[in-house]
Amino acid sequence: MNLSNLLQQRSGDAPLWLTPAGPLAAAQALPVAAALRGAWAPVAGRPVAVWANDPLLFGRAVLALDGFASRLLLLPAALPASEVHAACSNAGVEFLVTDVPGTACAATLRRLPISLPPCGGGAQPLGGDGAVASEWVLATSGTTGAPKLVSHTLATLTGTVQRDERHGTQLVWGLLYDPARFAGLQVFLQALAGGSALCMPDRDEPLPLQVTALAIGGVNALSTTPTLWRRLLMGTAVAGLPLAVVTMGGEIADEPLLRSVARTFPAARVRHIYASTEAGVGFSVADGHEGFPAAWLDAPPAGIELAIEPDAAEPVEGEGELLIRSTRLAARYLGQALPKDDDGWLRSGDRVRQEGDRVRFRGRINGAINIGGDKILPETVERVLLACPGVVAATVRGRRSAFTGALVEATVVLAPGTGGGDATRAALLAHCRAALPRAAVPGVLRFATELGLTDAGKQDRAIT
Amino acid sequence: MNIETLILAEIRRIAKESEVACPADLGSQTPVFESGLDSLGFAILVASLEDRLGFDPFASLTEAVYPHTVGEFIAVYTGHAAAE
Repeated sequence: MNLSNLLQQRSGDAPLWLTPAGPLAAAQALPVAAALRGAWAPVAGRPVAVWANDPLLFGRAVLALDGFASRLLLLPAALPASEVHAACSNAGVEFLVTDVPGTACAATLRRLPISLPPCGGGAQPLGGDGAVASEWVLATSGTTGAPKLVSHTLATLTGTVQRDERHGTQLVWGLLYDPARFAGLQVFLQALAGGSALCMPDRDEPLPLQVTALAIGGVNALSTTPTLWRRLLMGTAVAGLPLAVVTMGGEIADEPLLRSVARTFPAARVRHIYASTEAGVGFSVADGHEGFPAAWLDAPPAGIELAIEPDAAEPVEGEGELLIRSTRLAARYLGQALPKDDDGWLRSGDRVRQEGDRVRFRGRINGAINIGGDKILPETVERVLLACPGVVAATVRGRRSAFTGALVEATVVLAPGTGGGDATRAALLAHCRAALPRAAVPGVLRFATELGLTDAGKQDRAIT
Repeated sequence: MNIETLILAEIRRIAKESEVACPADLGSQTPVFESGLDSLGFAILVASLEDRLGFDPFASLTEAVYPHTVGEFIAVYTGHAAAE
């Protein structure tokens, strides 16, 4: 089963994708994918990367390549060119589908043509005997440090897709994420396999215009991060969407936000999803409360098992790392094994605490700061600050925020004689902006004469 | 400096530091979406105001408030200050 087979099961005339270029039905998308296969004949059975700004190009490319290329490496549009080259090299990819202009391709990377070939010329069939079982490779959502590449199959990615055809055809999903990221790909695949239309606005447009595009597209199902939900609720247009399905994921969904969304969309089913690139979709929580029911530790939802492993060094009652066992786990990282034990339990990297009948999320085990879904390691930001002239010490920690979950707070000690005024501050921030993704640039920057240490003599990075 | 003046000055400062345009006529009527600040910009604004004023009204709200205009945002702060 590949993507084009799934599409062939849909009604051909029903809208598939609504993009700034107009609506496209399944019956129109399939011949385009066949034509692209003809134009991309040299990549049959070989690995290919997709790095697209335009969601329509992304859609056409994955439709053409699944079952045709041996491996689809999906690269987020925001990934810098240097990391695109590194990821392609790690994944053994020589061919790139991209609309990023002026990308200097390394000698080992060839761009595939993305303009559509003349009708019918050289088209290659989508089903049939030649189909290969393509591997889907996604980059983890950490934005500091090189992303890890995670290997999936279409089966592990679509394990939780709802295939209720009658319900699915009544939904129009909106996509405000990059479909090359795990969360966006889930929406993309849910709509495609579930028989729904998918509205994909131009992500370079300001958010109010994207919301207008969702309204024009008739979107009634929407999935974004809690941070983006809060942002949407600060506008007035989103309340006009006739939402029947609301989901959120990628970071911790808090109770006030869940209540606020439920109040704004009284007719909607509101769910928060626990998923990661490695674990696939874990579970979805529909009872309107944060965290998940503690009863699931003994009687979990179908297809998954959950456990809490206490910290070996400093065990705390009811607290520890969430372990997951599921048929939807990724197969492996490219080049290394998943953090899984012999019995198939995956370390999620998430710290949880059981409080009565509820299990709540407490942050990342490795201390990463989750800013609107982007996971930032404090050490990475500290290294960048320490490379600035005049900085002798730096400590970075997460500071709680009602708007983005957290933000980066840095405390810096300057060399004697270095002024701690506005000019120094501007220079440090400019240095960080040049070296780090936006979410990792310290939102709060303080100067101190010395750094606080914990009782163990380590830098104090506790989230405040 | 009163709270309103402080907040407007902070929005301008953060927009400048983030290298985004802030409307010249920024004021109470400006929709939050047109202030120049995105989610991260607002998170920075709230943290900066907490350091200046000593409180974060959004952290202590039991029901979430998502202001639509800069004036509504300011009202969350003046309302909290008046209640203290």
